[in-house]
Amino acid sequence: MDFLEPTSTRIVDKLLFITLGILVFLIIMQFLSCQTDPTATDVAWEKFENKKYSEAYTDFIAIQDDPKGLVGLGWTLLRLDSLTRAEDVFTRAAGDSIVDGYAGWSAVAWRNSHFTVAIRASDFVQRMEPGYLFAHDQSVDISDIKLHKAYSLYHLQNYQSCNGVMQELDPSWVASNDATTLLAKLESLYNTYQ
Amino acid sequence: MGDSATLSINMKAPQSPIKISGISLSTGLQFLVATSNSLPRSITSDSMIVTIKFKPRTIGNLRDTLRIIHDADTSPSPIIIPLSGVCVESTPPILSIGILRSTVLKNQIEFYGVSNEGLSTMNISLNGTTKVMTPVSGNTRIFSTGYQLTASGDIAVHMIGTDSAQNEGIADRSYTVGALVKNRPFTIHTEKTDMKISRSYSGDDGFILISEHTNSRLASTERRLIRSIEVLSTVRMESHYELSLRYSGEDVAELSRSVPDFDERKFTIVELAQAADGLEITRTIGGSLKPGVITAKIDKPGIYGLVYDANSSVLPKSLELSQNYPNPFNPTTTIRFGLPDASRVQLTIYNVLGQQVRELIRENRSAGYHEVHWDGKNQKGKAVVSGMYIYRLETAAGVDVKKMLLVK
Repeated sequence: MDFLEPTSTRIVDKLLFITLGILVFLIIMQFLSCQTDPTATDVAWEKFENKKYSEAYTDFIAIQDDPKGLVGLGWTLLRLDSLTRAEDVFTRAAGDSIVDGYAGWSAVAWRNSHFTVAIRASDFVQRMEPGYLFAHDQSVDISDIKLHKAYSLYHLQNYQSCNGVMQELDPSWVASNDATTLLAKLESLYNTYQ
Repeated sequence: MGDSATLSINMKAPQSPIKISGISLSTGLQFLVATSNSLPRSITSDSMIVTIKFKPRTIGNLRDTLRIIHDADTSPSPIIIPLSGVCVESTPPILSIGILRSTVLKNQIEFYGVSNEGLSTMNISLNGTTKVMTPVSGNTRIFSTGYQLTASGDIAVHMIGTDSAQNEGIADRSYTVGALVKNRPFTIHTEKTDMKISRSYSGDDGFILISEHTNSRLASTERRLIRSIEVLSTVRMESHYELSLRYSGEDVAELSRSVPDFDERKFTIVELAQAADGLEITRTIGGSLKPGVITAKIDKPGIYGLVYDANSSVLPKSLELSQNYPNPFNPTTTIRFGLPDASRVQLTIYNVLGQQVRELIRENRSAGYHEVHWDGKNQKGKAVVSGMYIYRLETAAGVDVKKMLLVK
């Protein structure tokens, strides 16, 4: 029957088809693996988000040459209460201008009594992302960063600027230069934007 | 000893008027304010009261003299006023405590102590461990120290500030700390407060601190503050928390004496804020009432109080029979109960053998809270013997039973 091709030709075609299929499959797999295989940074951040800080620490240590990995290391050290090391890491990461790094830095610098550093870090976050929200812990936002600034200004007794930040957080706040009044308000400000 | 003292002197000018160009003191006193603005500019009569603010270096009776330098033409010599008889009193510094915290640093808090005057030293004792606090930016009125929270428990904070005259100011605050762990139910108890979240906690790991306020008062006198607490957290509150504030039979007894038409249903939970002259109510939360405790949901840390509010009303949701007070008692005691609806009520006392001792009431009562007193006598009016007794409340809403102890 003329509509039937010779058997050898059909086998060759079949092989060709299978080979092409395998090739296409491999290409697709390769493409998909590029798309879905999370990077080491993503894996480490996922551990951070799941509060597996020790595991995240190991991962971030391995990728600290990457700027995002370095910021992740800073945040992980912060959560592990290793605040001096965290600040060192955030200082190293500062050149990369990653906002998350400055956000964490504003906290540890305040807690480590480096108040001018905390203020600068807070200012950077506010300038770069006025509506900042930390993607890996969404309980942290711009209000917290401003609060670190207000705490630091209070500590430096720059009450005028401190009042200014407090008014950003609570527009109804009436400025005061009394240390006790300011402290009581700073204490309660944390509750304002829960 | 305070930062400054104020001295009022009846000055007698040699002639009138004179202009004052300066005031100086002999040793032992130092002017705190010595600018021309603060000096009396002139004396326009031969006798006037001049108030001078100065910083005393010593306490007790002064032996100094006050020299007033003036430019009177006819009498260029300074006016000398002896200060003997002027007594500088010693007052201890007044301290206040604050805690600063951050959502970012969930285990870290910073204690602050602020004094009304400059201090030589400020120490903080945390659960018996004392450390020296650091002056904030060299300011000897403000001190701070860091603290890391590690577990649930109590923190007793005791601050002692010492001024140059060795007067000690003291501030105490106690915190009950509860550790929040994701996916676990949360409860924290203090002597008069319960806070809990019944389902698993969905927020971040961190800490809740509860501090019972002492001597707190409302700036407004319209409502009576029974007690207040401060709730602090190092994390965002992801859920509503159930806050229960307890009150005692003594609280009720005191209000019954002092408030006209006292009605227990008028207890309510409020949110408070610090104002210049005390606490002010920022929000009325309400709450459900059981005898001795009122419960409401809160959604953020802050200062909360139990107030008696003549304008509010909270009815019990079900029959409530409270523990008698006092208990043990001799010979009288009070039994309180709450009715969700008007009902026929029977309250009866039994001994431990189940024998009826006294029927206190059998009558109709309205919805709300009621009190019944028992004088420790049986139905025949004879005093009963010491021992355990049982009181049984029977209403349309149900029956409840409790024990009480008569000790003679």
